[in-house]
Amino acid sequence: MKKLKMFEPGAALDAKMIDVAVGPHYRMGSGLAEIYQLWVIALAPAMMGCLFIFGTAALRVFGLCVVFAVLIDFICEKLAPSRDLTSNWSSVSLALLLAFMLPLNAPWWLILVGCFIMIVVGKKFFGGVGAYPVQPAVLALAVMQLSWPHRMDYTAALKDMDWSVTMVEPLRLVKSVGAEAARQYDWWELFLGFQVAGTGNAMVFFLLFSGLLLLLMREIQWQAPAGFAIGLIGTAGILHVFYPETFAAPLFYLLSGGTVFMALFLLTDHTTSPVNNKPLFIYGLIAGILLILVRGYSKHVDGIAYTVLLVNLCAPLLDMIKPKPKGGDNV
Amino acid sequence: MQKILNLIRKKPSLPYLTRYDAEIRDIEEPDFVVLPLDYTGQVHYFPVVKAGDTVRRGQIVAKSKNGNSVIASISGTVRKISTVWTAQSVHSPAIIIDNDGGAPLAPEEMFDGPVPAGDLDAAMMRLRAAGVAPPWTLSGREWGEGEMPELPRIETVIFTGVRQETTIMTSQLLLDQQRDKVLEGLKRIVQLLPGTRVCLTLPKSFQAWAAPFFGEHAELYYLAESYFDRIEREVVARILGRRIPNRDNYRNHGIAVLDVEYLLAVVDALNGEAALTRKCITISGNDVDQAVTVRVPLGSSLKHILDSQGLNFSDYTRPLVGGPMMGVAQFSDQTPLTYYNGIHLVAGDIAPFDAIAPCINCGRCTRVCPVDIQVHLINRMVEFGQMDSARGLNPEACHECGLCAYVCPAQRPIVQLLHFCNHDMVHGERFTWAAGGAS
Repeated sequence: MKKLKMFEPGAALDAKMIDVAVGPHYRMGSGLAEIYQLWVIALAPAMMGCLFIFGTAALRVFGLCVVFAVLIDFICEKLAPSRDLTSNWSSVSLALLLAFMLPLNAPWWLILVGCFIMIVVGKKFFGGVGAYPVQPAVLALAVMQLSWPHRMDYTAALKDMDWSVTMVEPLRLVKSVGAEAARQYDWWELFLGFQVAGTGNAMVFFLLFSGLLLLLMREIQWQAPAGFAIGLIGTAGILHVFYPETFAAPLFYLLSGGTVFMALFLLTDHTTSPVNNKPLFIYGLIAGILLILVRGYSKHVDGIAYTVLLVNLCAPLLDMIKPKPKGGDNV
Repeated sequence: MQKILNLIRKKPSLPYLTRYDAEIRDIEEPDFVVLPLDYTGQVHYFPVVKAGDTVRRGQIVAKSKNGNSVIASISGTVRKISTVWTAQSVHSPAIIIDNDGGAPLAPEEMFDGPVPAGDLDAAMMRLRAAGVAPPWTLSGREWGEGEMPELPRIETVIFTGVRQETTIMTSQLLLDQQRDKVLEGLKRIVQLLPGTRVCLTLPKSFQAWAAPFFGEHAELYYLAESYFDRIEREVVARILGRRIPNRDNYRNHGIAVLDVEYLLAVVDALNGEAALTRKCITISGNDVDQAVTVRVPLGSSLKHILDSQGLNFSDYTRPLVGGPMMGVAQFSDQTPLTYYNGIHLVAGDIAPFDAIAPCINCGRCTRVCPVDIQVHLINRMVEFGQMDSARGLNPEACHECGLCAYVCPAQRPIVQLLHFCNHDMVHGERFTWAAGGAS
């Protein structure tokens, strides 16, 4: 190799350590942990709501879920070192999302199995954080719903609660009885979270507050939830007009079950959603339409797990809708 | 507070200088200057003096095939004609002149009086002789020997009164302090190039006095105090309403982009008063209490400029030439400064580089990108060697403003990955990306 002459004039350099990196020489980000900590902070209001309504029973689910997920993540990191480190807090944020969807009386072994599926199968098998094709918490939920349908029954979990509302899952009642059953539920009770559902996925009011925090922190974009709401209300509205005995009013579908939780926290997961505005809106729209179809024409009651899994698989395709770059095409 | 605001804002803003000294300080002449003759993509210059010659400040020491010249910035003896590493890490021939404290050339020895008004050819000859089109601004390496292709007529002249880096104050200080001379320069340009669109960019804070002052002679564009609004290619695209391809020179499209500093030099040269031998440089840093602007002879070493302000090169982990976003980190304090207008001293590790951090597809890079390329896809494709897929996403539109890496929460080397991809496209060379660099 040709030897290059170094600089000649002047004295020798007296610096000890010089960093010759390229720009930018400042960074706004300070590590992946920051992002997932923001998610945990944003979820805090909704968790407060759960504690307010369910008391320590909710705390048990949240605590067990976080502890198991972090432990499994740590063991995986030791057994198979990868660039997905436990210290990046992604397992905590995923564990909280899973805990929101578990029934209140979930036994500890079910939570352990759920965390194992979420962390090992959902996340680590695909290469860790940032590489999974579907949202791991939703994958774990789907597996558990298929494997232990009775353990995952929300209605049985809340049978001891003494509320003045009908103590049956709203969507299950509508599915088995017909659309008139929706009249038994007041919209404001559904809105405040007094309905039969998982630990935290029906706290609509608190979840909206959490989602607003995420939006303000620019963690999520408004396009996906907006597209989702339009798709859901549009589809449910049309079907309600044509099949009034099977399909309830759109507002009922919007407020019952985990719909709001799905729109704000599951659909908007960074890794499994597209990035640009237009694809994100279409992504939300597809999810909204799919959700109503799954709720209406399948045997699943809530259907958020399968909708999210299906729509996550569309994300790479939607990401191909690219905006026109300014100043390209000149090589 | 800035951090919280940046979280909420769609386009984050870099902190800009709040404490700076408005006075431009003249520093004493160095013991020697180094004048590099070669810049990336620009024409070659050939020395017209030899080692041992005595030169005086203002004298021509090198010429290009088109008649442009490099001017000695101090009086002294030519020590040798050698090679140096310039600030951009280009290995280039250079003339080294030892200072002997001699008198500079008087204006009448250099030029024969002012150029007659409106005579474009005479004006162009004068500007070339005065070094006002310095070696780092004249493209044309690809032109053959002795040939000067027919360039399109200049239709737009854009004077930048604001530098794109928020830490460089030179242009706006000169604009503020020598506003009469700037106005005279604008009038001269309108006289020389009748029918040309003359534009001037200014900081927003100048709006009150500048609008009535310059309003008749130039179109004024006010830029906000953030890097995002000041990126030069974006500003030029906004003014023109169209984009010049990144690898093409503005001049080939009939556009001239000049700094206010050169506008002042143009006035001096056309009046036959002085050649361009001094340059203003702002010294700032995350550890420097107050940014200062100094006027130095062209080709002074970094060490000389820092010494004059009592700063020490070795106190900083990353001494940059240029600004914090697109500046070049220096490995030697002997680097001669000719092209750049700023020195930014970085203390501590404020821009850690995490080569193994996984991308989580959060999309901040793509949303902040001023040219709308899908950075979130390209950087992962390059990381995993899928160059062919990356090519379809127009990575060549990237002009490496650095915003993507600035906002990346995972601290990934996004600019390097994109540069790597473009390098691959241009040269057809295949490298594989590995943590820590190309192999």
